[in-house]
Amino acid sequence: MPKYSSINFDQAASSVVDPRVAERVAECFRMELANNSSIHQAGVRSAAHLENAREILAESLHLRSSFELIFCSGGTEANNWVLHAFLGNQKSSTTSPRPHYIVSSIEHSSIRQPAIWMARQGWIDLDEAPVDGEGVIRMQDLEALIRPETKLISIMHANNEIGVIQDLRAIGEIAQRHKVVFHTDACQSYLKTPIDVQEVHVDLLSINAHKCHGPRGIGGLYVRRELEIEPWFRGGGQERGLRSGTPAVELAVGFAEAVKCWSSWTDAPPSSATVTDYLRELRERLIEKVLGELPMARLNGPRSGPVLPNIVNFSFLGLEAKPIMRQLDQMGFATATGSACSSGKLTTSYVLRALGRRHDAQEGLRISFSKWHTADQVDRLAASIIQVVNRLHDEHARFNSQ
Amino acid sequence: MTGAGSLQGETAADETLDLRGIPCPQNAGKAVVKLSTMSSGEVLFVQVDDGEPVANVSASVEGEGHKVIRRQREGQSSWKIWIRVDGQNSSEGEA
Repeated sequence: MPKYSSINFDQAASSVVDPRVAERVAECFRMELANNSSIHQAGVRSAAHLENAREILAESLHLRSSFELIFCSGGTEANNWVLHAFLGNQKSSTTSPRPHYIVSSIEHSSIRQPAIWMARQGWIDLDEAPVDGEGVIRMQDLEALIRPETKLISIMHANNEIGVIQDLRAIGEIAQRHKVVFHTDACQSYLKTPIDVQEVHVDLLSINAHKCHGPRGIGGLYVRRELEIEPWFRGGGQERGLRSGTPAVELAVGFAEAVKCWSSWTDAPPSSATVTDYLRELRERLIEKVLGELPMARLNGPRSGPVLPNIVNFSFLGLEAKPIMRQLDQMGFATATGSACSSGKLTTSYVLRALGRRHDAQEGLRISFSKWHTADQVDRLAASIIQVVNRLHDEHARFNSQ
Repeated sequence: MTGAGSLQGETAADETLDLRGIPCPQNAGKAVVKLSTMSSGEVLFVQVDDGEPVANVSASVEGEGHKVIRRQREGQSSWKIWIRVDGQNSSEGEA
């Protein structure tokens, strides 16, 4: 089991690296692998490591061919690439109609921010597809946004703040019916809920390693074989000429090792449940204790059904989440408010606003689990949340009565 | 891309791999990975583009201890190569 300096319940920001992955990556570095583009024998061995990793990842997504997976540095890179891949000569053209993109109102900032920026540059027209009170895309509203110029629909598979899972099949059918490219950011959902790109119509899909106990700095973009996409980096022609640059072979091997290790523990399993079911048990245990003890607590996103097994997000009416998070941190529990990218900033949560939570939009406390957490640790976290929230609530009430 | 026990031309193959359109040395890397999943004595049939890939893939798999047992041109733009895992038995020559 990995060693923590504190109990890290912020695994959705970046998960602890599986010791087996760390060892495999270290082993690869010790091999002194050559450049995988060199045709000498050492280069071929390096290429074999990379291709083996690609095969493992391709199998996990049920790709028709491993050639459909392009390695890159991570989810943010993959997502930015997708947004830039359908611009054509739009940046320099003043006459051709702007391509129209649709993203969800709860997308990760690595889609949302560049899309907004590109719209401000005048390169694209942008619409946001709304969600219901639990964060689920409203399919009729999504379809109504599509117009003849629509080039891309980008809707995340699972949300990083509240864990809600979207119906890829339904979205894919809409995209296919209107001949629009469909991209999904699956960085949070990858391995935690099944994805089969032959079962659902998805053209592009982003994944990364560090959300599933792999190393940071490696990710991938699935590109459907028939889809023509603009190269992201030009140069040496690596990765089918779509993403030039020497791939991080050691990290790719680590990514594949994380996939292989996902469904097992390093030591004795804590229960006979699968990893997914175990995570779901921990999640439900925390929800039950917190909602049962704190009348001012609200769960953001679904409690069951289409939701990730490892993410839970609470609001506490009348209280901000950041002071709660800070006090929990002092007590030895790492948690988050909003997403990792914004949790250090005093910003309101656009995700909670999109859910219609006008009054507590800046107050989501996110807790995210790993398979190495124990029921005892979850119980201690629950007790600490209850203690901190009650104390802050009492202080707030005393302050208001003065 | 694979099919156990298939016959390609006159030489039996246990697995097949279409490496056409894949640049060097990615094609060789994929061949090495496939060979590593096969048993000693089994035969892998691969198709590669004409030109450098023919020599490069052949040299690379032989560098890993396997044996190219046959090569045959396939139309104007590609070649067929039969590779025996672990280099068992002797070469059947080059077509």
